[in-house]
This record gives sequence, structure tokens and C-alpha cells, in this order.
Amino acid sequence: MAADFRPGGADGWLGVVGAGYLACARELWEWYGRHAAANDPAVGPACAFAPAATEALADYARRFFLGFAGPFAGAPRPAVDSPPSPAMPPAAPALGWLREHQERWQAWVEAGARFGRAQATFGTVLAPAARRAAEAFAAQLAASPPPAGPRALFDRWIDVAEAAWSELAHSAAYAAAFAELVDAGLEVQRRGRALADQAARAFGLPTRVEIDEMQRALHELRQAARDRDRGPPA
Amino acid sequence: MSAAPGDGRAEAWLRESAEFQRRLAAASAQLARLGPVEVGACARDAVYAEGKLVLWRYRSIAKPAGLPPLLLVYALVNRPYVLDLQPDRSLIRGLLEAGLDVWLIDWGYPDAGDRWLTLADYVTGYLERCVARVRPDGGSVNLVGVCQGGTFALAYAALEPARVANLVTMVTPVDFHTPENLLAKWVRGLDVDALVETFGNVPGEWLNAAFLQLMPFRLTLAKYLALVDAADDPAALASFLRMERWIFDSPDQAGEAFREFVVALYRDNRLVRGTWSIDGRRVDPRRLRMPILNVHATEDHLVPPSASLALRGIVGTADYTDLPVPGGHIGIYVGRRARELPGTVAGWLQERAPGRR
Repeated sequence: MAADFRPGGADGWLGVVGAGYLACARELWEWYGRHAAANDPAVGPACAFAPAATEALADYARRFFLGFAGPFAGAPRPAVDSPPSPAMPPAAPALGWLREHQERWQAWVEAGARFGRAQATFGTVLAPAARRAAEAFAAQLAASPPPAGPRALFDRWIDVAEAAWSELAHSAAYAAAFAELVDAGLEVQRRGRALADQAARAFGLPTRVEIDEMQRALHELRQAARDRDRGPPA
Repeated sequence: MSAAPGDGRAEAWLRESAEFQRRLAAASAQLARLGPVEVGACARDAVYAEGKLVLWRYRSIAKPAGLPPLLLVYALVNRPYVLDLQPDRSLIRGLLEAGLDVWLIDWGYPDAGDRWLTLADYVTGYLERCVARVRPDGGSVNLVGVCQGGTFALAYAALEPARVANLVTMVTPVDFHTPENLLAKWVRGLDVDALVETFGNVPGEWLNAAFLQLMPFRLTLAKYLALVDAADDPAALASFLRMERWIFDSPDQAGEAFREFVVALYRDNRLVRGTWSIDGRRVDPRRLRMPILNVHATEDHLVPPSASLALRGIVGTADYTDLPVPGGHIGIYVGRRARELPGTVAGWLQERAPGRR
């Protein structure tokens, strides 16, 4: 999966947001129209929603929540985003004069697999919150006057969804899933960088570790010079 | 639409979506006409620079109030121009109008060469040298710390209390382990060593992504509908663009300092426990005996009020004031209620002017 850094293509961010809003509002409005069809939104009373209606909304809510899971849930490796070599299955022992290089590849592949598992777990953790949002939304609609239109319905949905998200985000399960997602993504980057460093060495270029060490030495020299200029403590 | 024709719902959808698309197009066109927005309302001069840091002094616009110079310490996250965004949204302008002598530390944009900067470099290095520039006579300043800059200000004031006449903290995290602190809950599970090892400096975009996750639906979708709603109001659009520019103007975080901050405060909560050390010196909050004004935002989702209000219980001063300001983390500087804040701060400082007490 390639990372997409385009800021919304030709339409820009506002175009992306506009399309996102229209898609969401339409989905909610259609759902409302389907399941509250017996009521006239202009004059009718609030309606109760059948379990099937809430179920349908929960399915939409799950997709909605996943869609906002953010950049942490996306591919974290734009620089080395090529498929691993099928000739080097991760489980095979690394042998021969390319053993070290093969192990670097295997570590990268394993890190990618860990990231995939972390993504799956993250999605699993989101699902109950999405369902709670759907249930709360249906209950709120049933207890209040019909929305004036799609935007009013959408605004109510955002309020309910954000509340459900907040509850989820404060949970230990979310913190653990989020941490594992981030940590796994970082490992993919580090393993990928080890491969890139190996390629850099082949071309006689400095690696990230070497540059870090130079910067650290420079920082320490600056500190020493400043301490010397300041003189001994009074 | 699956709703039956004539029941009003399909018609409502068509009518609203057509109107929305019209406003969306109008907003896009209006934004294109506006072009890039400028930020910064007050004239100022760079008086000191070191590495990426610049120390600014704002030009006086009112009769001097005769108070010690006021030094603003902003966070490393985001840029300090939110304090002087535009003429009608400027904390700094309000402070200048009250006759204060305002200085500001701009930390700049760290690059790979700043990867090894520590908290000591920031607090007992840069900040100390800025205070020395503001008061070369060895006198004291009125220190105003904002958000993470408030935590730095607390640390500096505890280490060098004689250099701080009065301390003002704004939306400043003090107790990092209160139940409402969502960021702290997330950060505690992260492998911060791996984070810094992987990134070097922690990318500002990465932090922004984390901040957006706090309220993803409002911050990535609903907020922009407000922009579409303001399609016919160029001034509102320009204000929106300025805020948007600021929110996504995100300096990277010097890796080592970020690691220290997360471990010492988000993970170990050492400030309230009195176990935080910088440069081998203990940051003892009981040494904070100068007058303190602690401003918090009542609806702050980044630094919950409870995280700021913990300050009262750990400081050594008897002259301590909590000031709740209605609004969110940023709204207290740029929201409608923000116009009262500089006058309140200036008045509080005036009451503590030399010779007044």
C-alpha cells in the first residue's frame, strides 16, 4: 500500500471535506428516510428505531470511525514501500554470505506483519465505540423532534460520534492499541531504514547513525565551549 | 434517495446539497481571491539570536506602565505568533496597550542539528540567556509562560527565583496524570525511546496527527463546514485561514528534549512530585515564592483545567491566583472573550508593581 501525500488532488482539502460531508450526510439522511419513513419530518412525532435500523447504522458508524482513525493507521513507509522478496520468506533461516542482508529483510517483513496485526487490533477496538455511537444516535433521534434537514442530522451525528470517540479514547484498550499501532509503524520505519543505510554504504554515503553521531559530537563541543566561556561556578 | 418522492426528505436533500455545493464553490473562490494571509499585528525588533532562537522586543504603543519587562515563553509545539495573530486577536497588542514592555522568545524551527538539544539547553541555556538579555543589570522580569512554555517558565522560576518578579502561567500542564488528560494516557504507552530513535527530531506533522485524534470528527470534518458556512464573509474566511496557517505550522521537536519532557513529565509526573531535575538541579516548586497568576481555559481539551490547577498545591507562594477563562486551549488568546485577558494580566501585574505592596 503506497502512502498518498497529495493534499486532496485538484480539489484541495476543501473539496475533500465537502465530498466527505456530502457522502456522510447523504448516508445518514437515507438511513433516516428508510427507517423513519412513517413519520413526516415536518409535523410528525419522534420515532423509535427497530434493532435492524440500529444495526445498519452501526455498520456505517464502524466505517466512519475507521475512516477517521488517522494517519497512524496508514502505511508508515513511503521510502521503502516495495513488496518483500518472495524468495526470502520471513520464517526461513538466514544462511550464506548474504545472511546479514537477508536478516535485515526478514526483520522488515516481520515488522510489516506486526503493523498489519496492529491495524487489525485497532479496528477491533474501534468497533464497539462505533456501535455505541449508533445506538446513542438512534436513541437521541427517537427522543427528540425530527431534524430539520440533512445538515441538522449530520451535526447531531458528529456530536454523538465525538462523545463515543472520547469515551473510547480514554479507555485503556484504546491507549494500548494506539501505542502498539504507533510502535509497530515505527519499527517498520527503522527496519526499512536499516535497508536504506545498507544501500547508502554501498554508495559510500553516510548513514543516519553516522550523521547522528556527528551531530551529537558537535552538540557536546558547543556545550563544552559554553561551559568554558562561563567559567567555574561561583 | 430511497425515501418516497413527495415525503419531503428527498426534496430536502436535493435542496440542501445544492445549497451546500453553491457555498462550497463560493468559499473556494473567495479563498482563492484572498490569497496568502499575513500574521502578526505589532511592530517588533529582533534583539538577540542564537541557533534557531530569536528574542523579539515589541515596540511600545502606550505610555509605559513602569513595570519590569514582560518576557513571553511560548511552547516548542506550534509557533508563538498565535499571541499576535491579527490586530483584533492579539494578546501582545493588549499587553502593549496596557503600557507593558513585551519581549517574546521564538524558538524557531529545530532541524537535524538540534537533535541533541536537552531541556537544560532550553531552560537553563536559551531561556536563562534571554532573561540576561532582557535584564542585563541582573534584575528580574515578569515571566509569562504559555502551555509547555509555562512548564519551562515554572522550571526556570524555581531554579532562578530571584530573576522572576511575577510569574504568569497560561494553559500550562503541571500535573500530567489527572484523569482528563487524554494525551498523557496515550503517551504513557508509547515507546518514546523508539520514537526518538526512529525520527531523530519528532516531526511536527506527527504531533499534529496525534492532536487531531483527540477530536477527529470536529477537527478534521465539522470545522471545515464552518468555513463553508462563512463563504460570504471574507473577514471571517481570512481569520479562519490565519488560524489554519498557525495550527498547521508545526516545528519539529528536538528529539532529546522531547524524550526528556515525555519521560520526566508525561510518564513520571516529576514536576508535581518535586523530583524533576534539569541540568542536575532539582526543580523544587516550593521555591516558587513569587506572585503567581495561573490562567486556565475552562474547555481545554489539550491541557485540562485539572492539569493546570494542580499548581496551587505545590508552590511556595502565598500570593497565588487561579484565573479561569471561558474557552478552549487556543480560544483564550483568539476567541471573543480573549480581549479581556491582557487587561486582566496587566492589572494583576500592576497591583504587584514595585512599591505598590
